[in-house]
Amino acid sequence: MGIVSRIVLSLAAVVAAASSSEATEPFQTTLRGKKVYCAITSDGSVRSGKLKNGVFVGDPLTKAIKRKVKQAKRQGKDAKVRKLQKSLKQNRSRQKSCVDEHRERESNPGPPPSTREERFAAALQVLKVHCATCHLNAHSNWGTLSTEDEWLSAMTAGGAPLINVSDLAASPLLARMSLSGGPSATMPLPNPNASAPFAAGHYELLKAWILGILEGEPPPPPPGPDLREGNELSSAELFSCSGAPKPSKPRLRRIGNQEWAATLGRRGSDAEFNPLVPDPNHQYSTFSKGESLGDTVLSEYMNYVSHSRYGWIDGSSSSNVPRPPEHACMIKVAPPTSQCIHNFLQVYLRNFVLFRAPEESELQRLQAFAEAAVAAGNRDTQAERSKVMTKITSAAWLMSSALFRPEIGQGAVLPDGSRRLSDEELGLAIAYTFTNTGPGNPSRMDLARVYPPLPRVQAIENAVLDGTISTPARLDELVELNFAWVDPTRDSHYSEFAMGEKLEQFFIEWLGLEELSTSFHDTPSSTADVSYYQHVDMSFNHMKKTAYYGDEITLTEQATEMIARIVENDTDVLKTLLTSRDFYVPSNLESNFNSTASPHAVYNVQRDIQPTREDRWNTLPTNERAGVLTHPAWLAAHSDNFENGPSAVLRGKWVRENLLCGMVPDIPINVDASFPPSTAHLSARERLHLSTSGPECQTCHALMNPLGLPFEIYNHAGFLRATDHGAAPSGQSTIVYSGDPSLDGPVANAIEFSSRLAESSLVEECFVRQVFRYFMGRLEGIDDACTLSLMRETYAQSGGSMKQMVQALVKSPAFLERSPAQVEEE
Amino acid sequence: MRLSRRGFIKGVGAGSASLLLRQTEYLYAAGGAPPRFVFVIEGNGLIPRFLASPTTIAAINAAGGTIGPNDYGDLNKRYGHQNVLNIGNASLASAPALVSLAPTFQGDLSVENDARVVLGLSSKVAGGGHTSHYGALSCSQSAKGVPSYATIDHVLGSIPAVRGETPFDVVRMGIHSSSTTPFNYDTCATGLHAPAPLICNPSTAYSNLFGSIAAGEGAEAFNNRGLLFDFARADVDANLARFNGKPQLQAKIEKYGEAVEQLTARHARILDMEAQLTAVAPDGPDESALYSSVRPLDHLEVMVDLAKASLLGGLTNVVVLGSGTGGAFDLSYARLGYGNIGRHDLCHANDYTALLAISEFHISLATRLAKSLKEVPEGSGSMLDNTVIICMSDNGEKHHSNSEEWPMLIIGGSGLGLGAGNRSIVYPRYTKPNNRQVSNVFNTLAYIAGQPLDTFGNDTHRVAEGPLSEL
Repeated sequence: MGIVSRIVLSLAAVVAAASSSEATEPFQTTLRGKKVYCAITSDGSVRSGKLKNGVFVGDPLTKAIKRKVKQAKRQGKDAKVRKLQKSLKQNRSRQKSCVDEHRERESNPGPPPSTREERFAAALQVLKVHCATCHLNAHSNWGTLSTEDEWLSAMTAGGAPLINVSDLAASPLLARMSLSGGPSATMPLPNPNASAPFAAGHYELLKAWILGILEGEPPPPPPGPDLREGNELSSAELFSCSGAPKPSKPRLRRIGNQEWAATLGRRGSDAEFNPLVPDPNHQYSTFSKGESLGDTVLSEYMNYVSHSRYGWIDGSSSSNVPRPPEHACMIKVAPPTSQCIHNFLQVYLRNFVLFRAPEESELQRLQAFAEAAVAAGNRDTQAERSKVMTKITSAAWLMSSALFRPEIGQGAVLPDGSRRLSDEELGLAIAYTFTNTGPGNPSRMDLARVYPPLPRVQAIENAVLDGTISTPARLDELVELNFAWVDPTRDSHYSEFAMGEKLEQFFIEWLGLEELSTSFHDTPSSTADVSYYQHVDMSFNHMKKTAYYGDEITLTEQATEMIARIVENDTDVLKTLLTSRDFYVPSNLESNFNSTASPHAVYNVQRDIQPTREDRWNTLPTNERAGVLTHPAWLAAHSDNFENGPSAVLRGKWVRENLLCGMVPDIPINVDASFPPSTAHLSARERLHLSTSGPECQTCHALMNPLGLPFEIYNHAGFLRATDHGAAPSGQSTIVYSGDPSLDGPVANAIEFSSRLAESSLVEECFVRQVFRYFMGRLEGIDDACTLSLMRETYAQSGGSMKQMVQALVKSPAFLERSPAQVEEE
Repeated sequence: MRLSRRGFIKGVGAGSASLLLRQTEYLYAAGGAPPRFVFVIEGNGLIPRFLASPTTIAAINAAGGTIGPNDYGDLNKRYGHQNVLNIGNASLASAPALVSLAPTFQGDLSVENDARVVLGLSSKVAGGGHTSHYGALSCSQSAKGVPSYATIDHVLGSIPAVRGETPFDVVRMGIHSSSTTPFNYDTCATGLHAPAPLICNPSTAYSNLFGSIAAGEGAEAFNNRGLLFDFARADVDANLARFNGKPQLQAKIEKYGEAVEQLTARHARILDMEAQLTAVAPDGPDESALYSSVRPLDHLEVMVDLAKASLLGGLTNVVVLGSGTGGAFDLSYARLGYGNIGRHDLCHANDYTALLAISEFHISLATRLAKSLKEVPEGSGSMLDNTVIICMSDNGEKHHSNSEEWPMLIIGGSGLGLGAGNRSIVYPRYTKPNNRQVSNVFNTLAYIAGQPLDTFGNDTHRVAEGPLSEL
């Protein structure tokens, strides 16, 4: 029997349940020197039998023989009983020999066939049994692929070809296989439905097919770009640098809603509700890929664009700040001259909209609009004249140059054809990478300075103006100014440690804390040891969002205070983030309402917390908390609605994707992800076991559950459990498939797990990748390998300084230069 | 195509003799009338008892309920039934807040037979308290300024059969506890982190909707918008030329340009609708003193007129009218004689007389709208038959709500498949197996809009999926 037939039979054992065919082509084995024929039946089971006229006839079914034995016993036919029992015994032996033969063939499929067609047929069965049972997502509906052509055009989630015809050995399909020995080799996950585990023979079949794909084919086309990005790439691939860091591709970046409001000097106003919200499908709000303005957004934006008038109105006599001449002539009763309008627009665009000198064509277009507006306007009252100004400033903020900032590379041309960002491009890039405002904002236009000028932001504009912004020393300085610092003058409810707004936002988004305000927790203190649980629950719910009555800062802010302290200290940042026990706990003594009286209870702190910074800083017990993954904010942000729900899945998925930079397939469309009914006796862990322990579930849940179960010592809202449905709370888990052998193995709880994560090189690499993504505003690709290596090296050599790592990124070609390619990111 | 010329309601709704609607005409094409939806949302609680007629209470008590004559709070905790009660001939107009369903003056219409009261619906997942923010209309947890799902108005307005050729997918208006706030951001949303504000300034709303045919400031604002679109279009063209040969850089600008073009077309379409808009337009800021009134309820009245005219003129088929929603509930109700006390204090004083007057007023605006639509023939029935008006609260059943009951009044929609009127449908209380949720009502609306939708919002708290057969 050919190898292909053998594999076909093997496959049938797995998938034939869905087939209506009878027994497949038989194969032979021997039992005590005698031939036994075997076949796989339509229900997928292995059956022994005989060949009659070349047709396989199965042995009588055990069930049928047993029935006859019973009948014979009832009839008292002892001889017949003995005969049947002997037959039963023989059948069992024959059956076992067939099963053993089948398993042996499955485990060791033999050498690859010699022809390309046979090799594909053999490989296809391996793919179906060991790959397609899990890869059922939109990106990789591999279960539906049946021809070689279909497989050759199959893609990974990142849009890269599964099989790289220009370098077959480097095809992702092979590289991801655990037996390839490759750096990202974690596949396939075990398929408990398969009759034999994935073995070397299977790998060899795949390899033989892929390496032989070009047999008889014309030479391959030149290699195309590797389009994989983000978690599609393994850390090992990304931290294997050969050569020098590379520039990024040119791009335009649409301004975000917070950036827009802050740039207009309208923080804290209605302007913050403008519709320029980041695409929620992006991992980070800084990503710009594909972001533009559709009609819905633009329609809404028209209701906000009048905020642009504040750029010049603030410099009014009512605020005791004299207007500069460019303003004054625009608001006088006498209509402004063309020259006045020209001068005003030049200043307005330069200082408030574009943060560069406007091009003559831009100026001319807006001038024509402004002159028409002035001509059509009424100048009888200041209010009427202000309306004209609002019309003009609104037009300015509808300019595409105002809404999309360039990172094209308009500076010097480099020997390899790349171009540096111009100083003005770089000024905008630095400003919006580390702050929400344009460079020099509150701008020179905003003379009343409704918000105090921020020297750290002004320094960016100064560096553009004096031509030093692209020097390494000045870039270091600008990052330093906008990173983290000690500020004793902050509002007394906050700690003295502060972070720049974008750095803080990085941590909020990386840790997924923004989920907190929209998450729902039923009875937050369930299973915890608290008094007056209703007060505790209400206090917790208020803390999740900007409270109506609460005096203390929000739960998310409590987490970012903890993080700010670590980042400001800037030593072993990641390790400290994952292990610190210094938490900023809100005071319970400032509230006059029961509904906000117990904000500290979620930390399991029993004593009163005085409303002082010193007392709010608490070192929590070693057996209760360690690091941000044990912070109530993170735990509550990644949780189910109920304490006995599948929070472990959500937390495990987060760890897999954001701390290990791994992937979890989307939930297959045919899966009803429901949980068994809630009962008083079943814990979340037990319910999770009941609903996901099936082999068909474990192929994917094995990637999540073990990473989330350590956090079961906390409930859904992040309270430390006192009891768990009649048993002691348990965080026990066995970590598997992490991608880092040092992480795998049993752990007692989240505290031990966090310590282990803190020591993992894979986690450290993932952290570097997350920082790259957020501050570059895009996912990392294979071309970023040397930039990432540089960042990691800097981090290691600086004793775990996140600031120096970011400074290294900002000084790298990835940030400063743009490739000459005409193909940009969209 | 003109169908008919009809006069509209001549009289007043409850509360004030000034609630006059203009004579107008209906211009919608006969046949193929689109489904329309109007949400009238009262912020900070709608007490279920106010919607319960004596017949309804008797039926609840006959099924094991224990509602006494003075029980106003937590009505659902007094329900004893296990299966839904479908109470016909419920004499709805005899419910405390539903007087305006019946004729309120000689010659007035009754919409009692077009109305259904739904009690017992829960929506715990929306959260309770003073407001659920976006939760009422999105059936999900949210925070101030931070929606997590699209609200039902956006979902309905996005259905092609509902949107049709109308320029606006949804018209959202509402009054706010702060009289100077131009927008209320905390009630509607188009998706995660994407609030869709209610316009709180009636003059702005008028300008957006009827500026094309207005005079004065409304016209100026409308015309300015057109000029800004022209400017933006020219700017886009120039920038595209600048990136000539770099298609990937052009892509974002092109998309922006397409949006400008679409809004320009919408602008032009509104201009083209001049005749029909002129026919239905309500009084504008230059003609009605209500626009400049300091009483918030006067603004709400104007907004109801704008809503009606928008539906009649074909500007939209979905309207949201909010009254102190999304946390902006501490209104002064000077128009109803409560000028020196806000809603918060009225609630804490358990002043049910005042709260009833307030709810009754809100419902009278809805019934006034319903009656005016009922006068407009459409197909074999009236425009009301193709319009569903829902009165509900933004947080459930009371000032500090627990979201266990969200009473609703549903008027109209018989031509869309909603069942008979003058009924009370009472679901078993929260936690009972046959309890149903607000999300089921929204499923029902999607179904009758022609887009079956069995899930909605955050479904982790679902009791049952799909529409409510009782409706």
